[in-house]
Amino acid sequence: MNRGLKSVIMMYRRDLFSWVYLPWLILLSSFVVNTIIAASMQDRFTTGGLMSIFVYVYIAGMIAVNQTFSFALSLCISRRDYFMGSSLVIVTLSLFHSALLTVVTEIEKAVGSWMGMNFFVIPNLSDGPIWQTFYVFFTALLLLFFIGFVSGSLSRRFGKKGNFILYGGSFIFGGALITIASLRGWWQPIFQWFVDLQPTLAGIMAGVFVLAAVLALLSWLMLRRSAVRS
Amino acid sequence: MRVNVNKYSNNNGAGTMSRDQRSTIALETVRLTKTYADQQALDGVSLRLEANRIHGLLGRNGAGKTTLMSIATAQLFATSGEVRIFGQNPYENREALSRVCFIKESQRYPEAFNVNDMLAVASTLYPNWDAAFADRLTEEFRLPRCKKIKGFSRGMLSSVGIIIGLASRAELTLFDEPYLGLDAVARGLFYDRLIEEYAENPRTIVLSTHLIDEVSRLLEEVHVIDGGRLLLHEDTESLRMRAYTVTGPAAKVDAFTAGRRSLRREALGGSAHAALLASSPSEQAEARAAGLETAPLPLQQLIVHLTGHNGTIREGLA
Repeated sequence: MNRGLKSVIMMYRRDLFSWVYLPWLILLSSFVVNTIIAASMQDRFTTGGLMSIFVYVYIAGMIAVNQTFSFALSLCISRRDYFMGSSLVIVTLSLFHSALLTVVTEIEKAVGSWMGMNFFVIPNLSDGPIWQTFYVFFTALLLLFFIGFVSGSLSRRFGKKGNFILYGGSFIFGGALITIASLRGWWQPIFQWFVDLQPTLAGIMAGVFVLAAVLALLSWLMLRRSAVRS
Repeated sequence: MRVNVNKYSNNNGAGTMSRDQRSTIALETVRLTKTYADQQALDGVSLRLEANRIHGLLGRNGAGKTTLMSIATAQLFATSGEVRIFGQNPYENREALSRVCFIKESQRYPEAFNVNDMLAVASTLYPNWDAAFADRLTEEFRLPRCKKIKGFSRGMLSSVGIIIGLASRAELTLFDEPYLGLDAVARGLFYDRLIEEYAENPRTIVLSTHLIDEVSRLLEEVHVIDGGRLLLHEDTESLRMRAYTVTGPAAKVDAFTAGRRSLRREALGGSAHAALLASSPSEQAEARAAGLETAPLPLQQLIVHLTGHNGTIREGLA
């Protein structure tokens, strides 16, 4: 491993709090609050609290580029080393967080529920075999990390304008598409097409994995042409 | 005295250089141009920094110094022209980049970082990093090790840069306005440590600044940039000998300065005072023979006159 790559990894390692502990602190506080609510209620319910870690990695991916890219480059680290180092860190963190999520999910399965509340087990996604739970968490985290990372890379490459056009554009374009599909009655055929594919969970997750890889590639293509403005 | 082959920037001799000559050039730019939508930051700058010397990259704020160094370290892209570090294009070039340390004046650090974090990253990055030296400097500059850098004052930020730059022992170390906000004691400390370090471990050092007075004694070569152009490149010693002032009766001063490189003329009553850049070693003697008093012109004053944005004088210079 060359010095540039090692240094990039070191940049993340020096901030373990943000990368490792903070998402779990958030998740834990959400868990505690929900358990208290569950204790005071009669009904069984599943919370959406687990979402916080996915939202967190999305934002973390975006902030990472903002905080570390120009810093790494100003230390005369090559863009390639920055990208490789960051990607390695993202994959490692996704592995780590999904392993931990898998463990707590298995615990929840074992105990059934927390005062009638389900926090980690997502029906049809993480209630299957243990390897599947891990795989689902890992690909989902990886995807959200890279959505954030590609978004940060876009800001780097094209400025605020870039993200504005992307999000604004997809909002308008997506909205228009949904409206047209609804008016023309396209949903039924689309749904039928999807059912005809007979998608398996593993298949869908493989698609998610490929999408994450594509986003990583896009990030690289943008970062390699990004400059550091002072 | 050294011979100044590259006194003015317009001629580009890069194509004719032999491989051996090039290897002693730490940083070279050829007709480097950087254009933004609303301004020309660099306008065809060709310069060559010889290795193992202390260079001064001098000019006013906004002259293009930072832009030049940012392009040299592949952080910015040039609009046109070439840049080489130890003979290599720095863009995505690990080998070339690993020999450089660039301390930027406006450097931002990750939110969570303190001095210890910064030193840990630097020790991983720089092949010749001297941890003991860095620790000593941290003590001397009285930097808190565990306080977040984002809360640092201007002077403390400058100190962080100085510590990294000196302890990196990078073959080419670029300091961009390194002592902004530092008090006189800390500045003195910087000059002393720089000189000691340079004597022990010769390397190429570039000091980019608009505050010239104090560093002028450290500089071996001077490169003056103004308005995105290289105005002057010369050995500091020879420049000191060439830059002088004459004082005397206005008529005599005018008679003497006519046809010479006069940078500035001030008149007071019947007497006048002019700053000149000699084009021959005997010029000052000639001035004294003409009945004028001569005195050396400090480097700071010379740069002020050169970059004072008086177009006609600059034309006369070139």
